[in-house]
Amino acid sequence: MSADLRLQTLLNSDSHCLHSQKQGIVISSRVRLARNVADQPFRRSLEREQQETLTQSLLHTCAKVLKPEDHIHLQLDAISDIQRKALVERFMVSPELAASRRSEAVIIADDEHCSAMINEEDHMRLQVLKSGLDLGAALQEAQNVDRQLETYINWAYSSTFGYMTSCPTNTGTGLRASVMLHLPALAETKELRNALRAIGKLHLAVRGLHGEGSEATGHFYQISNQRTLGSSEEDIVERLEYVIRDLVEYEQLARESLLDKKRIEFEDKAFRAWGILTHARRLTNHELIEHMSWVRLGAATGILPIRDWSVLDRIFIRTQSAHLQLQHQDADNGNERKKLRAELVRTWLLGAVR
Amino acid sequence: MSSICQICLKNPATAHLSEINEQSGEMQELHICNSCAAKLHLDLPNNPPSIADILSMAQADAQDEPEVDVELDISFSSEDAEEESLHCPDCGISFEQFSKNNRFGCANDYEIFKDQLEQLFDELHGAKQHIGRGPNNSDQHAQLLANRIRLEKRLQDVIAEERFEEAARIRDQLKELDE
Ligand SMILES: [Zn+2]
Ligand SMILES: [Zn+2]
Repeated sequence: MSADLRLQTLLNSDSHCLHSQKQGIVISSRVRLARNVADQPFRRSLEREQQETLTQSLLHTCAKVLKPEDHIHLQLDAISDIQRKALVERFMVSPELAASRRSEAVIIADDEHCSAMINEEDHMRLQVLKSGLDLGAALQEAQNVDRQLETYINWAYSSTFGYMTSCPTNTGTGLRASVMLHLPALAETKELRNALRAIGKLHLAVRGLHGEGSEATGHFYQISNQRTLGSSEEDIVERLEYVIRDLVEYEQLARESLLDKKRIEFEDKAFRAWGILTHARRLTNHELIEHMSWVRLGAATGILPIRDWSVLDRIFIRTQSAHLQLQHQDADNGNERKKLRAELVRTWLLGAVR
Repeated sequence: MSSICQICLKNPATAHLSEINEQSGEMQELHICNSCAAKLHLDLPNNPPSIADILSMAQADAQDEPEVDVELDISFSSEDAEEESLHCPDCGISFEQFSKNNRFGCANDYEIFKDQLEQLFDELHGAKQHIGRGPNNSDQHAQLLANRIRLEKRLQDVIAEERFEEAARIRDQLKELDE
């Protein structure tokens, strides 16, 4: 199968790595390692031609480890803008990489659990994505790939600074570990502000769904380590996981308390959201995510009769704008997309009822 | 990851606040540096005000400040001037350019700007020395030392967090390392 056909297949399927677990509180865990090739200028100092050469040689070398048999190798300038956007929607490519107009590349495992962005801010950013809370396994896998790559590539490394990265906020381990969470009940009980403030003091960052600058719509959050120098990879991951476990517990308690003390208000909100999503004829992505937040919470607590949870994860990925545009020729304008989105959401949700 | 102070838009931020706007549900973040925090008399570790409060304090503070005198602009001390001309021979960026964009031009910058970086890394990461893993070829002694540094740092941290059981476990590991 050609790379283009494999990409199309990928973009037409459910995400392989977003199977929500723990009643949908933890969505996914992600580990990213930033690496740069020794004796090469960093990305922002590369001349266009130098970058082209480096991208080619990195693609070539990475193919020895991330094998073309089960990884799609893509030059980003060879695919359409909409395909790039769809890769962002699936968390395979950063918005920055998708927006760039120079020779960048990405390697994506067929099952999406592992990917490598080439010539984003650093020469390589290796990512491992896992369903649920599984940072330890994600780290191990990323390090395993990195070790194999190191037999072919000399990364810029010093015993003082560790892995040297383009931005000083990544220096050292080059490790960014992050967990995507859904915390609607905590938000409802107003405890979230305190919880997130406490997290800030632990040198962890809280962001919206798509990272820096993105909005925290529908109470979906990404929490990640801010410090990369001076702690081992294992410690960074362990600390983050420790905090996440606490947050999951708080969210669970908040859910119980909602059910216990405000059941009617809670049911009302969940059923209203369900009513809108199963009846609306036009939906914006923002609206969808806001209502999905309540539907997920209703499904997780057994208030809404949803049998097939995977549908909720499917809606999450496949009704975003670029995904709609790829599947339907006439979805090139906003109004058409709103209509299409409402149709898909309605069909999928009603199909998931027991 | 943005880490420039949002008040002075200049220094690397050392404190990062985030909160949720209760009406809109939107995430608000504030990155602020030590000197701005001190200037506004903030006690961030113990008593952080809301982001809105900090922003309005900063605005009031900026209005109090006299217009910058032209003379000030040209009164660089010779030391500053020297720092200004610190360039990386490999990629050509100056320390000033690095500070402005918060991006290095090449790995050699780490060596060239070494003296200036200590403070930056201390502010960003609370550390100056890498502890995690390195490429496979690092020798065993270096590994032992790195383990020791790692455990000691971890010990301090868990004690600060009052996780005493964990602290006892780490002390045992340190003892094992000595033998
Ligand atoms: Zn400042
Ligand atoms: Zn340089």
